[in-house]
Amino acid sequence: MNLRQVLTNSLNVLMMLFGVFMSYKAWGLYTNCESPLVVVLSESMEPAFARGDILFLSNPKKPIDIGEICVFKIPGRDIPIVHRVIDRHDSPKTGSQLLLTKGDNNNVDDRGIYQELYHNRGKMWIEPKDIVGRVQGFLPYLGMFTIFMTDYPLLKYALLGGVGLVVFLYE
Amino acid sequence: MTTETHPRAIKVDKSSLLDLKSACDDALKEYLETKGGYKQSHKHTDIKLVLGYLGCAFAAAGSYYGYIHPFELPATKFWTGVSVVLYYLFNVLMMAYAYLVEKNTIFTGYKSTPHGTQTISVGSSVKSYNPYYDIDLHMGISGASSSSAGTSKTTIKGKKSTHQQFSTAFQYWFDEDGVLAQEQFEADIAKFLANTEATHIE
Repeated sequence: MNLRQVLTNSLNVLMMLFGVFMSYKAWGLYTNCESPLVVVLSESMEPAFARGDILFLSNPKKPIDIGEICVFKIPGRDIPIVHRVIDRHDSPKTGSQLLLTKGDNNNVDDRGIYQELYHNRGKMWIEPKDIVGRVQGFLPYLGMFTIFMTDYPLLKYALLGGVGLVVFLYE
Repeated sequence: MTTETHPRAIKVDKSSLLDLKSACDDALKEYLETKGGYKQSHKHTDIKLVLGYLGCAFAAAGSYYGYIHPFELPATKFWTGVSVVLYYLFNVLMMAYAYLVEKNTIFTGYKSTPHGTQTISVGSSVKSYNPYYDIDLHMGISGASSSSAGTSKTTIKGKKSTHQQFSTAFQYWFDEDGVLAQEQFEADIAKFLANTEATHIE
């Protein structure tokens, strides 16, 4: 295989990867949301959402309302938390809000989580800036694939390696 | 009818038009480079590679920028948008080049002849469910040459190009085992080339 063929085959693989990745970025820009696709990891929102569901997020400009399901992510921790907004206080002057969330399947609201995760005993509310996005739709079960990949990293590398090799050699 | 298989015989699945075309493409390219005496020009491939890698470079740069800067900043969103647009732009340019300029070309090349520099561009295609190999032969000759005193040698000044199309049924080149009959194929190609060349020289 000469250099041109290697370059051409590599380019095909790269363009497939970047094609997907750029579409994801474009979707993020359209929804104004850094990660418009998340996977539900806990059972705290059952029966609405189960572990392994894929959620579609967006960040519209309008204020968050009670009943909306939000995803908030603690800075530094990868785990997004998907819970429902049950209380809000709006500041009409600044437009900012104070929000209280609770998982449908939990017995208590999230204040315990806020204080533990934000390392702040007085933290009683979260704000829109803590919110990654608001749920607009979902796809059941398909996220289990991602969960397997995270739980068994070997599977991830094996799959990626296998796919890359097949595409490269059969072009 | 089977032909005797010589050591480098090409054998394909004769029920696949794609395989038949690929085999003919490869044999044609090899013929042009060896017996035809042409040097292959990689202009089309190189241009597509440049366009493709440029697009990937912009995508990579934009991704890196988005990774180190927080998403909420307007600058991040702007540059992410720029890199997405640039990536797709180069992607489209690459596809446009393949569709509009390269089309069905499988070989472009040139060789020096006493008449000047001869260029060749061969395109091949197969229509759906039609077992015919369609060749688009573009030949050109450029450069001035002089005729030697006393002999009636052809003089070409400037540039001339001709275009011929040939359609051959695969059945003339492949036997029932799917083996390509090298001599028959090359003889027919030589005929096509001579036919097209002859139209240069009036």
